[in-house]
Amino acid sequence: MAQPFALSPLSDGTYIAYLTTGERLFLVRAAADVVELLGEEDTLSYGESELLEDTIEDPFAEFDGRGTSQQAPPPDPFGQADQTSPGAETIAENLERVLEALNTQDVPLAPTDPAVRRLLPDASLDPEVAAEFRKFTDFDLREQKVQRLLMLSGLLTEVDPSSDDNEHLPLVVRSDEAEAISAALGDIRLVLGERLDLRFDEDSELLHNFVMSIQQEMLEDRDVDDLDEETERRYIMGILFELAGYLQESLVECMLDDLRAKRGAQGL
Amino acid sequence: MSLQPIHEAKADESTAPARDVPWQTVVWNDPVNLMNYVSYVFESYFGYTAEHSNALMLQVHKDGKAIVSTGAREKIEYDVQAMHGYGLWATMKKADD
Repeated sequence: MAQPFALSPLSDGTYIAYLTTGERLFLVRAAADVVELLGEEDTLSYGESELLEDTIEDPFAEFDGRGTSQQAPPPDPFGQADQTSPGAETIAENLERVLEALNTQDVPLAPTDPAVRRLLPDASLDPEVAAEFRKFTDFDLREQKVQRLLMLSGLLTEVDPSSDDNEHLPLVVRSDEAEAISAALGDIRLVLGERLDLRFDEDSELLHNFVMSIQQEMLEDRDVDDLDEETERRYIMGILFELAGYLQESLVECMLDDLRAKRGAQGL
Repeated sequence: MSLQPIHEAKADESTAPARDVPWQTVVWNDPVNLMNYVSYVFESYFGYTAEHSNALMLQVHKDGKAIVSTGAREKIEYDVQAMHGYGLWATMKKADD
């Protein structure tokens, strides 16, 4: 089970959480999927959106293939096809091309995918004001969110994967990276929230209860493969939603402590 | 709050023309964003005190929305974009809407 973020005992101004390899894999995939959504087909031509699928290298691809026979195939919470793993040098190039493509769009459309719409919401109840706002901010917001998700991905893949899924490996975040990482985790949760149809505050609690009940069934020796496809999908997304929330909340506590300490020192 | 001398108060009574009506940033509640994260955004981005940030966050949570900043259109546009960057849902409106 993941350990939430806490200030590093090394007093070097970093925050450390502990995650299993499986948990890291989940989060890297989720980050990659949200990056792909941010380069969605509404805004890019089909050929260009394919570039984004290759942009996030799957560092666990090798490991997946050589896993033990009990190793389940890597989870695919958003139901997207497995991604290929290009060389690291093409990732930056692909991202460049995608961002250039975004830049040449004349009028960014309001996203049709509700998850993307939630990441890039209407800035006004007046559609004209909202359209004008979108025209000027769409590119910058997408770029900002993509960069942060790539930063999160990078940190998650800093350590080599372990074949022991009980082994917890550190996820180290510098204090100057923390805000970006917390926002990236938040964006992942926003997309999951849309996919899970969370509408009201109570829905998160209902989701939590659902996840707990499935875990209880698993403890009672019921295999997760016995679940129907929809239940399994919701369960995996629910686990991811909670994991990202657990990390985000603990990281934000560290950030608040840091912010208030700095303010205190400045006499604010 | 301090008391203003009367002569200064009269100077402030001018009515602003319609185009100078300030704009406002409204942040809306959503079922995903964490309460401590929302407080952090208000405290960090706007520089509000912990108490004020917490109060605004609770207002968003309980009333469904809260006005978090007021000012010229350009400033509000900038604030709304920042809120979207943080993953909050914010809209801009004229103060008299």
